[in-house]
Amino acid sequence: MSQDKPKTAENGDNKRQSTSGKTRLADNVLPLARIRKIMKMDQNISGVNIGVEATYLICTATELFIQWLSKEVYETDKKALSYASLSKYIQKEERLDFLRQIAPEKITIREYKKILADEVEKIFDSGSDVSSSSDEESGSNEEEESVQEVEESSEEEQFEDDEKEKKS
Amino acid sequence: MSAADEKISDLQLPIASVARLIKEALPNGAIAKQEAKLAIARAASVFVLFLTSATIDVTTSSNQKTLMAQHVFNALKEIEFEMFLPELQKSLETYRQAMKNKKDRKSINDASENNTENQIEDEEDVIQIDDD
Repeated sequence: MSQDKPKTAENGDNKRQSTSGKTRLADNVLPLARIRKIMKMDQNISGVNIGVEATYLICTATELFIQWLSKEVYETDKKALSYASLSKYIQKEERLDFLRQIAPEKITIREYKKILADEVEKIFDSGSDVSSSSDEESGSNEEEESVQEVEESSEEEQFEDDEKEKKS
Repeated sequence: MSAADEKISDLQLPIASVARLIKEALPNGAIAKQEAKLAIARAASVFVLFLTSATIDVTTSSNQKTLMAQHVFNALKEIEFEMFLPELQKSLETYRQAMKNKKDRKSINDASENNTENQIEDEEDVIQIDDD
């Protein structure tokens, strides 16, 4: 159809109707280069090459994902697509486990304080939790000590430098 | 500090493109709040990372060194998004056809030594991607 024109995102816009299940053209709305960059952030990417088709498919899959998620969330509350309904949906949909940390449900300060109080109570109730939390404390102490050591040694160096300057 | 900032912005997808995809998906006149759009854009970045990681797993566990189309398909099954497969398969065929047409066109143009700037750019794109 648009074979002779350069393929830009705008070009493909009116032909892409993925939501109604029609065939998509080989255009992406999302920038392939950026998708590639994100893919390269994976810690295990160093040993493997990224095929062109794999990039294209991951890009297209992400577009489908955006549209699927928007539709699903919108269905739960048709007033508007809002953060609250998105976050609620993410919390209840099992296959969206991987998103739970990035879209936490918003809570009021009072709710936050209650959760905090419950957590503290839990720690005092169970012995194992206490020991694990004290482990964490000792760990952080060690870190502080090592930081201090570094600072001290750098001060010593500073002294030496000063002395050298005085001598010269 | 600045290096870390750069990395974070590298992870972001352009909000305008994401907003357009959302608009396409929702019925006409539906409202999408800005906060929701930003969160979906962020979710999409995480989805790329998640799917990439699953794809790499498939590739390496089949003792191969290049991420291929089939690996992405298997990875989608792995992360329970197999509902995208039919549409992706269709779209891959379209993509392959478009690439083939592009090549054909290029060889005709090469013969007549009549390349437009656009086609030269296209060519560079392909070479760049193949290199990595």
